[in-house]
Amino acid sequence: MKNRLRVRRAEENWSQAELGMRAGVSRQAINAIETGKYEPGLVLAMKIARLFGRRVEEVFELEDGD
Amino acid sequence: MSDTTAVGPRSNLRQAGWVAGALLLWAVAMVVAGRVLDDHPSSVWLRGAMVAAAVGGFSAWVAALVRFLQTQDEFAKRVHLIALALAFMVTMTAMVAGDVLQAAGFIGDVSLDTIWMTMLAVWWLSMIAAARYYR
Repeated sequence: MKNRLRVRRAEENWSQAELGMRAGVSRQAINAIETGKYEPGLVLAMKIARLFGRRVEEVFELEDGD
Repeated sequence: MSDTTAVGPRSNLRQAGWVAGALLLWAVAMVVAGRVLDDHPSSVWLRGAMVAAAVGGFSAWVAALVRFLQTQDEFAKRVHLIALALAFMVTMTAMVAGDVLQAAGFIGDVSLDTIWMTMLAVWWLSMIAAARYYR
């Protein structure tokens, strides 16, 4: 799964720690999602998308083979 | 839908404090039980009480640990799950190896303590490795 977390975060000028705090997860969790090492669950993905004021598909995108 | 995010840092610290406190309680119970049982008391009640204290202390620590894990976010829970699975597999392998080595006469009797100690050590080593990988 691809994600545009880093781009959206830069648009808001938020650090990983700040986004993590807003989403209720650790900075490590945000970093792992951004680097593609971890795919968030549905609740967390929707929560992150809501923080950016976007639909979840605008932040997370399925790739061929997912 | 269930919320899979963590609680605040203050609550997190409080839960970690419970884990540390329970660990201390268990350590004290183990020391006391060990000293009393080393004297081989004849009283069944006293021996039973010491066993209950040691096992109860350990159970309290496990309960505090479970509560702590429940307060973690979904990412931390997943890392713990992987680390626990790894610890379980390594411990099982060590137990099988120990059993065969004993049967072959290469090693003597192995204390049951080594089982949970191995599991705990591999769990924490896995957590350290995961922390480095995901930092």
